[in-house]
Amino acid sequence: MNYRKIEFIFLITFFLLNGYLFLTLYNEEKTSKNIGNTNDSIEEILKKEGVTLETTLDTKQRYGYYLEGKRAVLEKEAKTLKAQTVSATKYKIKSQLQSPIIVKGEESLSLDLKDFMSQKENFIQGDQYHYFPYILNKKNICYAQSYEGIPIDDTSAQVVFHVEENEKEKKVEKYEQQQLAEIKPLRDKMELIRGEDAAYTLFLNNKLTRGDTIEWLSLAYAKVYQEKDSFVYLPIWMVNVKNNSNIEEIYRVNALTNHLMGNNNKDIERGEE
Amino acid sequence: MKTIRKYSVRVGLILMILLSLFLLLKISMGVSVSQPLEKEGIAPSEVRSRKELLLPTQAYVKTQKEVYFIGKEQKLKQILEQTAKNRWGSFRCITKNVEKEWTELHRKANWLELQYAGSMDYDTFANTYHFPVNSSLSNLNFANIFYDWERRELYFLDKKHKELYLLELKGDMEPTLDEVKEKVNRNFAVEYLGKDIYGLKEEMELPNYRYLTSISSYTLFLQTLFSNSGNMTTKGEGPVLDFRNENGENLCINNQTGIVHFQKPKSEDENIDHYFLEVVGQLGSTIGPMRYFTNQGSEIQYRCFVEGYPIFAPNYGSSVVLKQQDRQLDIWLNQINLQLPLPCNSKTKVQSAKEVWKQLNQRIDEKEIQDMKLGYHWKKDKENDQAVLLLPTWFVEYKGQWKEVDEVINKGGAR
Repeated sequence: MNYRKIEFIFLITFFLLNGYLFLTLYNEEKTSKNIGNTNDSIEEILKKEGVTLETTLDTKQRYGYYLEGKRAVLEKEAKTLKAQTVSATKYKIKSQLQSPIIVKGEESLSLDLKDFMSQKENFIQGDQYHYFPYILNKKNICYAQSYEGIPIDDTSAQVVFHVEENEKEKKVEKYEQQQLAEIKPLRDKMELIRGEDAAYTLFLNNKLTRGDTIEWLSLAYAKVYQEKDSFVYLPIWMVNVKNNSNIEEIYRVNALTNHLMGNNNKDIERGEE
Repeated sequence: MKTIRKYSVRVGLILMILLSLFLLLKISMGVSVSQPLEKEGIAPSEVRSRKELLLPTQAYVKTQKEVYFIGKEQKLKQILEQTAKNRWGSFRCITKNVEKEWTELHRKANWLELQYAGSMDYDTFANTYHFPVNSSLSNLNFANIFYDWERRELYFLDKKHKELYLLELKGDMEPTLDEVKEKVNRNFAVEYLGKDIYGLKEEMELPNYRYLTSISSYTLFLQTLFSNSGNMTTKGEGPVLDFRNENGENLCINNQTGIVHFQKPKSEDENIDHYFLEVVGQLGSTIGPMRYFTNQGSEIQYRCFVEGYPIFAPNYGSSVVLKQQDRQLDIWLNQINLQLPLPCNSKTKVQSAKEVWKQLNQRIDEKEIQDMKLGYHWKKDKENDQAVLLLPTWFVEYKGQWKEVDEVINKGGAR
């Protein structure tokens, strides 16, 4: 092989190599454009990534606490309830209503239940519970205790109404109640991460992909530790994500440290303990 | 014609080689820029921010006669953020009769003083909390910020150079200060003992705290401390694990004591304060609520705080310490960290500062005491292996080391 032929082979090799490098560079730039530049807001980055937002990502500075709560003994008070058959353990009431609560529309359901809960002969300390819409199980309606307006995402602080549905109407015949007593902060008030940071954490952890939709996000307190009858709670962001196949999943992000937490689909268990 | 063809092939080849190099360079730069986004599982706010790390250790406020202690992190942060929003007037440096001037300022009512346990360089502070940057303040190292809210003046005290820097404030800081004045924000009344030391005026009961502990993973230290974690050699001898890289960096983790010791060669042009601030920030919230504590030149300490009080634990627990030698930097910390607050209903009686000061002075020379602080000491929880108790105790900086007052009184050597 003469020298000129070697030169020619090298020329073609480098030509092909450069073609490959051009292609790599082009793909790199395309990806980085998709991720967005550093001036983009988190909302813009997610939109560029093909994530749909059905809610505004919360950008307010919010505050929360590490909380302590003790299980309230409901057994004794359960005996005072009227017009229902109650089976109570120390901390939990299971009740079968003698006449069901019948509701016509989706919206009036929570109002009718709230009305039922506000009557002392019907219900134990109903004023402590607020409507908690953040569960995926459509057969249950949940009310939760809260601390300074942030609901507690734990069955130990909730009431779960079981909904029976037919063509004409929806009715509630059964409910389960648990309660926390002495809810108090363990430490001073702390700054929380913003809702948009929680959404971005999901994105960085590959929990949000093209075609996903963030349906809602909400602050709540999650149980992280139990010691005898006391529980420890910390603030979390609950983020509801619906994928291409319409499957919904609630992710939970620690609102103090911005870590993604495990055990996401615990809603399935709710009301069935 | 042959010559032209011959040269065009050669020129073409050279151009192709140059183009390959250019493209390779461009691709490698592109990759390095996008790396932080690709690092799975690490969100930006897991890193502790400078504002959290560089909070003053405590604050004192005097409205009428009494001086009150403020330790709450949120309040300290709020005061600094509110102050930074001011419009600033002129700067002035007072060099004469600084001590007298400083004492005089404290005699009046309506002031607020923020204190660091160690010195803080003004540029770092100003960049963190958005205070005005001024070339005349570039050499300022202070530990005290004094706010006179009647005259709307802010003072920075540089003890080493015996200088007092005055900044005029033209904005309105009243909302925050009104809150500060409210009783709810004051922890308790304190009295001045000298040497910038304020302490509990009366004996009182303070709450004990409990925490669940966790053990940090090796990966955190390997990723954060080493400049290059490739080509690492690992050696295990007894309870000690030893990691080493080709840059002369070395990490030892003792599984029995939990002590983590990192060593690296010191480069001449490196700003050690900034390097260490960066390292502690990167270690992040995993190692607990770490804040800047002291800086004695050769040793810088960051320490965990609980409800405004520093925590002291054996084996470098609850702290990150950097020690400087001529050609080497040593970083010490512990694998075991505070993870989650747990319920605790007990309290501990704490003596008044005057009483403790009196006892100390009976046993040791006052000159050897640099500082005295109320803090919390770390004690194993007998009921739960994974938990620790934090109990309020007086601590003293004696001969450059922080020790429990009782230890100094018992072993500190009689005069």
